[in-house]
Amino acid sequence: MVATRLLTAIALFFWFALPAVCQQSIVGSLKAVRGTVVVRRGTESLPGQQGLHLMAQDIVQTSADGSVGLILQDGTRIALGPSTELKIDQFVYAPVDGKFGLLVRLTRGVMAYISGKIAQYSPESVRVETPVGIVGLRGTDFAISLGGG
Amino acid sequence: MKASWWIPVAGLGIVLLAGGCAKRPAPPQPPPPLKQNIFALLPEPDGKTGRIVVSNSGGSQELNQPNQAVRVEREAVQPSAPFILGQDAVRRLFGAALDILPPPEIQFVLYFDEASDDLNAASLAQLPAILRTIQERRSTAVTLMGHTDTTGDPQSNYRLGMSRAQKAADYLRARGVDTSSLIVDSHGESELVVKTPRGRAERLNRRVEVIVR
Repeated sequence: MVATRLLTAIALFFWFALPAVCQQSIVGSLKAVRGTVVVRRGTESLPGQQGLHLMAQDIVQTSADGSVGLILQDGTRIALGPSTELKIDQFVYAPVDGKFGLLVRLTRGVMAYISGKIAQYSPESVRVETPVGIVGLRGTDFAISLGGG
Repeated sequence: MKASWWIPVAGLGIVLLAGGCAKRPAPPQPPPPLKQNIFALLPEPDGKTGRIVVSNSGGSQELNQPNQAVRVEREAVQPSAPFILGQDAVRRLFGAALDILPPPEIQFVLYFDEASDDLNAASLAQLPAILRTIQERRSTAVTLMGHTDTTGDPQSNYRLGMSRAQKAADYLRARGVDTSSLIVDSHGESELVVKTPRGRAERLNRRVEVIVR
């Protein structure tokens, strides 16, 4: 009886834990770092060194003397200037399943961005949020009637 | 085959300047910079320009010309009419970020003999260049994705693709590339370069795509 319950508990643990583990796959890496750069992951604060793997939900921060270049797993390239903070909110790149999503949030500072394959396959899945407005990508071939304004 | 994948859809630069500038006891001149948030669409290396839309609760603006930009005062105010930024303004606003943009990822393709996961002579000849690229870029994010043609069944093809990718990864590991830098996976026969009916041997489909970032 006890043994059965224990097994059930273990089975449930894995059942629920597994998707969380899967989400921990790497979404990108730091390529070039100048000055002081910090990556905040939950309660952790990691020194931003060349090669550091990035995970979804990471926050990349540069100090007043810092800048950093990073590349995501779909080939998206992002560079941050000094006194900048960027959160990688969502990264989904699964071409075989047709699933795409890229959401980054720039809370302060300077960012340069060059699209990767997510934008190539699914431009509407890419969004850059800032405190004053949202940037969306548009495909190259059709006209879109813009709402508002 | 790979070329179109490398073309970025949009180059985008954003500057958000903190509001504190004006309060600083600045020297009398030059005057402190205006508090402004700028979104710019930068031309791509190949000369193409993407299209972006900047929107907030006040409205939206589309940018579709190289170096076109909008100012956004705050979230509730519609982005300004688009204007063209001069080269010097682009440098001044975005230079610190642009100077540290990493190079684009590079893709290599290793081909395999029918039903085999052995690195053949042609693949072995390519691997040193892949190793060199990983070392030069100090890449910690290399993907090795194995693929097969449509001979055999899908399950065994998944395993064959994985085995091909592992063989290439083993070569790199044996020469000092850290395991944590290698992402080894298989798409089996689900991503054909040359679309064929089932049971067709096709050299171009039997491959490992190696992406070095």
